[in-house]
Amino acid sequence: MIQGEASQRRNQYPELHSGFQPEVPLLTRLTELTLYADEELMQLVQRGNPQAFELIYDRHGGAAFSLAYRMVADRVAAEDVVQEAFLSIWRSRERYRRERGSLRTWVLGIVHHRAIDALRRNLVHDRKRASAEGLEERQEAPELTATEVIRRDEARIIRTALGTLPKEQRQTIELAYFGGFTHTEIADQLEMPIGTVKGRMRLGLNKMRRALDEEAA
Amino acid sequence: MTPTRGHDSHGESAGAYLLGALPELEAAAFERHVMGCADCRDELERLRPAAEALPISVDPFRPSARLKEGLMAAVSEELPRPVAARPGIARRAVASARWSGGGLQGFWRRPAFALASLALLAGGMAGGYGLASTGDDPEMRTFALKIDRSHLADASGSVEITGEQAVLRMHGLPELPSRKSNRIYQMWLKRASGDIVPGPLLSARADGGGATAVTGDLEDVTEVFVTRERAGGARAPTEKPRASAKLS
Repeated sequence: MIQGEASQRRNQYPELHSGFQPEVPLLTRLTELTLYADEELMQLVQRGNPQAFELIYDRHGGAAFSLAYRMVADRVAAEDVVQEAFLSIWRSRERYRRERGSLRTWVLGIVHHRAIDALRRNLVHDRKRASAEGLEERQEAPELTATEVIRRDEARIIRTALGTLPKEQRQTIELAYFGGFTHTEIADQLEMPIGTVKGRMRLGLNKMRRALDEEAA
Repeated sequence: MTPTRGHDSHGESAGAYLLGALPELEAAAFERHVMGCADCRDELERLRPAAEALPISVDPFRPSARLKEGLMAAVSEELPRPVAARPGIARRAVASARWSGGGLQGFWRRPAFALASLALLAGGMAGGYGLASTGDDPEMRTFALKIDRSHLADASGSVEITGEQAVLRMHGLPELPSRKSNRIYQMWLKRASGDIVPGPLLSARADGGGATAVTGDLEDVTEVFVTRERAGGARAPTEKPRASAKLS
C-alpha cells in the first residue's frame, strides 16, 4: 500500500522524473526520495546510500518493532531485535532480490528470525513467550500515523482470517510463529505427537490462505 | 506426480518450515529435499501467503526515537572512511578548495535541476586547501572541505569519491535540526555548466558529526558545497556556502 502511494505521488510530479530510469533512481533529495517505491529505494541502499536506508527504516521500522514486541513482549528486547535486524539488512543489502518478494516481507522475515534467535538464546524470559502474559505491558501509540492506520486495518483482516481457524490450529500456529517454539517443544507442551503438531500447522495455514483469498475476492 | 524419495518424512513439514518451527538441522534437510520435490515446492508456495501475512496481523506499536538514532549512527560508522591524504600519490587531481566567489556569482538565483546522485559522510580532514588523494584505491579521490569559519568555527570534513559514489563526512557542526532550530544542512553540486543541483540533506548529531551519501553520474560535477537551509531542504541555495570543495 505504501508502494502504491509512492507511485501515485510520483505520477503527480512528472517533471521530477524526466529522464528517470526505473532501474537506477537518480533523484536524491530526501523529499524526493520519499516518492520512491521500496524496491527502488533498495537499489540505492544496495549502492550504499544511508538516506535511502533511513527511509526504509521509517517505512518498516514500526511494523518490525510491532512484530518483535509481539514476540518478545518487552520494549528493550524488541528494540534490540529490530536494531540487530536492520543492521543485518544494511550489511547484507546485496542479498535482496526484488523478484523474490516485497521488501516488507523480506524485512519482517529477518526480524522474525532475529526474534526467534533471541527467544531461543533465552534473552527474553520464557514466561513471556507467545503468551498473553506480556500483553498488558504494551502501550499502543496514542495517535496513529496514516501508515499505522493502514497497518491496523491490514492487521484486522488477517486476524479475522486467523479467527476462522479451529482453536487448536490457531494455537499451534501462534506458538510456533510468535512464540518461537519448535514443533518438538509444542508437542511437549500440548502433549501430542509431533506429526499432529505439524499437521495442524499445515492445515491451519491452508485454511487461513483460503480465508485470505476469499477476503481478497 | 510421484513424490520424490524421502517425501514421506518431509510431507508434513512445509507449514512448520514456514512458521520457523523446524530445528536448524531439520530445516536445512527440508530445504535440500524441496529442491528436488515438486510436491513440497507447490505446498510451500500454497501456504506461503498465509505465513507471510502473520507478521502483519499484530497491532501497531511505535519504537522509541533512540532506536533510529542508534541504528543510523551505527550505519554511519560503517560507511567507508576517507583514506588519509599522502603527498606524491595525488595523481588524479589536486584541487584547491579556496572558495572562488566569482565562479558562483549569482548561483543562488539559478534554478536547481534534477540530477545525479551522491553521498556525504562525516570525516576528519581539516579545512583550508583541499588535497585530492587516491589513497590505497586508485579509483578513490578525497577532497578536504574549506570551511567558512565565521559560521562553522570548529567544523571539518571531506568528500570522498569512488566511481559513481560520493561520500561527505563532517565533524564539529552545530547540531541541526535541534530544539532551537528546525533548519538543516544541505549539500549542493555544481556542474561544469554552472548549474547548481540540490543534493541530499545532512543532519548534524549532538556530537557534531554528520554523514550522507549519494550515487550517480558525477562526471561533470566540479564542486560540492554545503549550506544551511529550512527543514525539508531548498531547491536552490539561500546562503553562501558554509563548507565547500572543488573536485577538479
